[in-house]
Amino acid sequence: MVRERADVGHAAGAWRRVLELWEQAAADDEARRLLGRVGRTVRLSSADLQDASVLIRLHGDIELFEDASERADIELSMGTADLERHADGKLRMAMAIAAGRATFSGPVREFLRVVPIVQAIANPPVDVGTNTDFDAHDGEF
Amino acid sequence: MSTSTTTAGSADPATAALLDKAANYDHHEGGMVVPQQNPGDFWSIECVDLYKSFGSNRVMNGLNVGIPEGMITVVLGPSGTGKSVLLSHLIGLMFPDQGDILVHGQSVPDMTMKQLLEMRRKFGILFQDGALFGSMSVYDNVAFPLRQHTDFDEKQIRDIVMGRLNEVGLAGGAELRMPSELSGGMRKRAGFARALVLDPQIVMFDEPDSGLDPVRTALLCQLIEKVHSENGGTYIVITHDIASARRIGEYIAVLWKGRIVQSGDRDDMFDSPNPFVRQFLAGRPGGPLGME
Repeated sequence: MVRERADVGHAAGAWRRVLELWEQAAADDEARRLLGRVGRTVRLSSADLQDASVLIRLHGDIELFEDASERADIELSMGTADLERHADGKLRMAMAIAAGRATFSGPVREFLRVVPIVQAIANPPVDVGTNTDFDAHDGEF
Repeated sequence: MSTSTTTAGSADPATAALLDKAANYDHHEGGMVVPQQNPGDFWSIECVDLYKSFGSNRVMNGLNVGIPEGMITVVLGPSGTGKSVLLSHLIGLMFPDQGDILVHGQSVPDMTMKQLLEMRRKFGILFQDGALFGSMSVYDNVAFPLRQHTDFDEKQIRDIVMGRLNEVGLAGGAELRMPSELSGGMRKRAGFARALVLDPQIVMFDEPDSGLDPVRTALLCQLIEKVHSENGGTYIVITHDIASARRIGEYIAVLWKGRIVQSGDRDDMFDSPNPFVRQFLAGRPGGPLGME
């Protein structure tokens, strides 16, 4: 079920990209090692699509379950725009929560701590010594 | 977490008037409130109404700030405004006269010495000059916390130390050098590697740009961003350098006269209508901030 039919394709596409990012994380040895230390289960959901949620189990590994009814330690829900930013590796997730665009329950801080590692898969940091768009401003902000 | 809602309390009258004027410009209506079921569910660190004086000099004037998890926070402020005092409070090297500091939901002033030592294990700190031991090689400097605080054998220590030195670009023989044989930038990178060896959840940088030219400052900023994206966690950068804040700050708190005048997302802060914040972030001489 979709809450806003006009956005169904858009919302579903964003959600699919989020799942792909987490599947990539679950296949990345370093991400599995670091996220596996969290020791929590997280349910990440789309606020715009019903039944679009994934249970992320971070106990020594990254395991993903799309149809799990298991109770999660941390529940986190956000809209399509923020899910897109997450899939792009550009979401400042704590700010999305602070601004009220994302809702949570449970010790979400423990999840936020490792989000940069997952987002770096989609948006890797530049190599040190590389000029970026920031440097193109030539000191003029 | 309210960003600047307290009154100036018992600060001297001139400071109180300026702080109240600054607070009135705050465009965060009601402050940034995040509903937590338990302390520490959301914020990595919370400073609540901190006051601290040294004799008649009041350094913190009802300071309120929340440091978000998983982001690089930059605490910006003019010289002598209480940045290093704030840093010392976060790790329990100083205690407030009034107010509370919560690290992962636990009150630092209420901790026993044992709890305090345990809490400090969560922190890695890069001091201004790297604070390396001059009589030890870079390798031994970086290995020092592991030898002090773990029972790892030398093989395990070597793996960790060389991994961290590699991460900061100092593994190609620089590990054998003495600190006096390093440039300022290399000393900072060695200090950064040492700050990371115990896998801290919170990494603090005290004026990382001090003593570096603009290019080396930019390179260090890129390194901080890279290491943060590889490790996650809370990074707190204390500086007065606007360019560094603009480059790496995801969340920015502007500290002035012992209080956070405003804090928020980087983009919001650089668009802030608060004249104090605008003047400081633009580095303009004209505006409410004067010579006082």
